Amino acid sequence: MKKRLITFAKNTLITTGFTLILLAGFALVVGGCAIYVKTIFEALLVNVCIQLSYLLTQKIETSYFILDAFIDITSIVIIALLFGKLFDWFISTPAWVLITISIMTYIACFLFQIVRVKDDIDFINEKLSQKRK
Amino acid sequence: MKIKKIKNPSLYDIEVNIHYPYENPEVNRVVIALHSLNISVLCKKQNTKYIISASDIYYIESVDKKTFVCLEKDVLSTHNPLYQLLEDLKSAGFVQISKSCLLNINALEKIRPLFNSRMEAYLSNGEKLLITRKYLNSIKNMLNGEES
Repeated sequence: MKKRLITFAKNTLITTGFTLILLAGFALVVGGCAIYVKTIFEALLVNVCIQLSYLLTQKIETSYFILDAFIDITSIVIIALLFGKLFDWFISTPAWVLITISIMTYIACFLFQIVRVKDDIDFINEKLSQKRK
Repeated sequence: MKIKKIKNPSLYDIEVNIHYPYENPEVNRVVIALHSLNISVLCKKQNTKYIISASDIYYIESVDKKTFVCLEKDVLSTHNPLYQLLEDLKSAGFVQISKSCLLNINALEKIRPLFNSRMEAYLSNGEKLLITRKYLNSIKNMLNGEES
């Protein structure tokens, strides 16, 4: 349980950091010069909710990778848009920017996870070869 | 590892004592291997019932609410649901690798990653099974001897 909580907190902080960097990047492109302090905490709350929804969508296991990814991305975008409306983000940030940030964060996490899975596979194969000796 | 066989006519059953200096994954693997000899599953094939030792089972798969027990070259069915079998066979080295499949870790040769965030398990009888990322940790823990 403790390990799961630590992983949850770690993942939430990583995605929050990535989201804020992307947001700052977009702001820079359109000539923005600052991010509100409250935006940082709002982004953290959104990412907590996204991580919670990810725990739920992980329970849905289909035979198609594309469908799994579609379910994940749809839930992430819906949460981001709902909070966007709640926190009045659309006054300063268009919806397409929010959707792009959400999808880019998902892709970055997916690529990071591929690397982590590769490490796990190497570890398992190493253990299996040790077992055969 | 030293193996000593002692014949004792006063015993009613085989007794195994494991002496070790400290607990490590090797000790757990020996325990798992011994457990798998002791645990069996009641299976059926063409109206004939068989008692199959856990060590002879390669994997167990659930298809359309039916549970199939796959041996090296044979497939039998069982009435037991997958979750029940996981409980019963955990100590014999069985681990869940997807929503519908339990694998005997002793039958696992290697794992290969697939592009779609899933993995392929190569078994010692040449068969291949899909592993879902979610269950990768169970395999890791089992090999580390944490789940025994």
